[in-house]
Amino acid sequence: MHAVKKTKVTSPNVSLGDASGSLVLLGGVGGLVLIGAAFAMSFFVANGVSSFLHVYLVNFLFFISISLGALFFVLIQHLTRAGWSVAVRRIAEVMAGTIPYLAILFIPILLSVVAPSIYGASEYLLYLWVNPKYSSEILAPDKAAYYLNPTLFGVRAAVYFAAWFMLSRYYLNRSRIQDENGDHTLTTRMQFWSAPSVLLFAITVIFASFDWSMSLAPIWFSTIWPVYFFAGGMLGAFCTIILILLMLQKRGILGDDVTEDHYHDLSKFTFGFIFFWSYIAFSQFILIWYANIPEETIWYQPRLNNGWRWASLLLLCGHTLVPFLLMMPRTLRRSKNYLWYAVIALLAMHWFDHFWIVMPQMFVSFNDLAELGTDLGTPKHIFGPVEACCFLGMALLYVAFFCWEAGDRPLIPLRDPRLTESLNHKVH
Amino acid sequence: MATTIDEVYDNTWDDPRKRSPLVTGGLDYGQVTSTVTSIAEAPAPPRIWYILMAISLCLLGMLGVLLLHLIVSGVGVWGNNNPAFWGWPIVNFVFWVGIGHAGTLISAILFLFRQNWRTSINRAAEAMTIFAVVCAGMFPGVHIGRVWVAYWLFPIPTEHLAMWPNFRSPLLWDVFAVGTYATVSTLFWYMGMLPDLATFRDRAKNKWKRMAYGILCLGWTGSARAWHRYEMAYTILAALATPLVLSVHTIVSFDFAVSQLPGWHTTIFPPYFVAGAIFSGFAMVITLLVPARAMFNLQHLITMRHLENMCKIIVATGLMVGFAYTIEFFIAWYSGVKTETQTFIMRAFGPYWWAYWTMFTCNVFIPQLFWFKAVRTSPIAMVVISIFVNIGMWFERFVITVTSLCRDFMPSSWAYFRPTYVDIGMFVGSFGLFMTLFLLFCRFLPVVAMAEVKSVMPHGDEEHH
Repeated sequence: MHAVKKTKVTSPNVSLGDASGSLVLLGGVGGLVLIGAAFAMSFFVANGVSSFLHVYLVNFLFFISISLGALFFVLIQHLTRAGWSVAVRRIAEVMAGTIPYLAILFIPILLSVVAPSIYGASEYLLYLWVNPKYSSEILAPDKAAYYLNPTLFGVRAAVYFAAWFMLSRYYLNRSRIQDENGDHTLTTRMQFWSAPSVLLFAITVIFASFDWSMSLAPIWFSTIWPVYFFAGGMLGAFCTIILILLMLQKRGILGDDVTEDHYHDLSKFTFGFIFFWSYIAFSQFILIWYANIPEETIWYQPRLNNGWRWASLLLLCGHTLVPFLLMMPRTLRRSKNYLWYAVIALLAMHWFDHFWIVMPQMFVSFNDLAELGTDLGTPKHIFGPVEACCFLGMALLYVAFFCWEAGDRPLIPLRDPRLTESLNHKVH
Repeated sequence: MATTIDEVYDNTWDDPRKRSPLVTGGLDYGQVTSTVTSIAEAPAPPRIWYILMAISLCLLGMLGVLLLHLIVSGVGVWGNNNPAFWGWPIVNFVFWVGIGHAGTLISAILFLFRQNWRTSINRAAEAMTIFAVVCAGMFPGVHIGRVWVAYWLFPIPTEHLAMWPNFRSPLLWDVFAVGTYATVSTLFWYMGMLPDLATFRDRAKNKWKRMAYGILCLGWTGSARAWHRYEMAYTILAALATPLVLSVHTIVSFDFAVSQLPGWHTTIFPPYFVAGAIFSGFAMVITLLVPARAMFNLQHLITMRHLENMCKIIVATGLMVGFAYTIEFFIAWYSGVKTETQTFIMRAFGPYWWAYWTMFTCNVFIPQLFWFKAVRTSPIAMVVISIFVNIGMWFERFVITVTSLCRDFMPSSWAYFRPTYVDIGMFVGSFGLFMTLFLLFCRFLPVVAMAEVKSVMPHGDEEHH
């Protein structure tokens, strides 16, 4: 009765081919120029390098969270022995493969933390706790000595990147070796290691989220923070996987091997993570709002006042209410034309989430330092050419990293033992 | 690749080239039906059923007597006293609500994730969910003191009562959350059972049985149209039940976390409670199903692979809970807030150290044994570990509820909580209620969702497309 099962990839092109080289060149040069331009322009806006570094951090967190989400996607597919996702898994593997390059992009952030202590400068650049005056007067002495200090921050970051480097390489390389020899025991090995890998992933992401974004407000704390960071990253990863698939198919790569059933499942997960992110964000907010303890509400205060109230409402509508309704209908989730708009809008909101986390903290930090007697003036602008160039630059670099990593190699695991299952995947 | 005889009986192998079967022993459709229906059709249940039922009824009777004593004498018969006004009743409530999470997770969330292995275990797990929620609901119900005005919990307009429940109180949200969850879970369970109840009706030899099952199955015909609507309703209920699985324990966690009490007020509570609930729920499913499958010869339907998968879920959620414990400790230190730090040190090294380390050992260390396949595939080992998990999860709620209350902001009111015999008796008695309901379910209703199992059997799957 039913059609013969498809057992092999039928697309004429399953790789970027020659296009990858030019995209790497274009993305790499364009990205560096734009980030350089943003840096240069920052000298002419209020608060100079500090405002550049904040925007830079927003973009870094945006892209690293997406790549980490993709890494988790790969791990969880192996852990659950998933069959449906084989045809789209390579995209996530390559996205996770960009983590080592993102480590290079971490250098400016690391410098902002380490350099002042080497040169003895007390200038405020990005993390408030770097300022010795602040850490000695405000922070608990233990916390400054054993956690929030430049050396340990650098050591921990090295550990995180080493772990993610190892994980992302392991799964990408094994999967590619399988393309060559079709050895199904490679899948067995990857499945075997997936459970400890998830553990390593969880431990590193928990502390990375504390270090990189929660510690922007050094005296604030929230135990749910890593889950919040993770939830947003997963949403970003699913949107990016969909976006890359749409782009590739538009260029005639991957053909009909990726079907609307795959899109349907990916968008279901997108919908799920819209919901999950909202659940986590709401839980954090309601508990802090309800208990109303000053050391916790200080984080929401600047985000609910001085114009940021509108930003918070935008996040509520754009990251929760509207996408919840607009990603619910099945027909929409299966429509490629619709998904173009949906995932771009969702990625914009995910970016804005990080913007909302990082930027208000700059204002708070300036005020806090002013109270300590280091008056650095008041930050003025919100979104200008520095922000635009920095984002575009990092996005181009991400494209370059992705294309460099993809090269002219296949973008579908050609000989995965469960490929047949994925190629014939149908959502009932 | 040909399927070997061994693979028909042992389905725990993990070969990426093909999926292992979900029904072993080479059973066909007819044998699946007869395996399940034979439990209810047998003239008498196995002797062990009578022994267990007798024990359960004794415990249930004890619960009844103690409830009467409580209502007649007042809540003073419990150990609750200043400053620990929430003692065992709330601990037991949270414990049972947590147990009641696995069933709906299996039938709703695993359904949406297309985890076909859920079909053999979902029915029994859902039944267990509902019975656990019954036990859970009892405790706050009698905790209010004057049980005859329990309806005051609901916002019912009345002339006599010049007040409304406080809508800002998470305790009221609990009434809605648990009430909704109980309603939807029961509907889901019952609706899913209709085709199987019809099978019972069709096979019934006795007129009264036929009539009883006929009423229960609402005149199910098994026509294509009925099946079509059934599947639509199932999907809709699954989608509705999914957020409910999260919401119930989230609201229960709010009971604690919206307050300002150190040890209660922390933002990780909602997802951490949900993970703990799934953890304890699956442990209870294993504790019940391993003996049940042996008692009723269901080994080919509830296979080793089903049990192994549940063990994996236990180790995963156990680690989530373990991470939450550790992060709470870390953040208590990181926050630099003295009361927070002191509370956590007190929990681990203060007067309740024994409860804390029982919790930690049972929930975090012992389930790590499930990393070994030999343990994951040994029915005895998994039951023992699951019982430890349930002990650990009870102690988790005890640690949260009692330790934080006993060391409040005023050192002069600090005290050491001691339960009375009524506390202990009611908790033990609640197992009697739970087991009585579960044993009745096993005897009279379809323990395995026959229709769903058939849809994931290999020949069924091929015809399906």
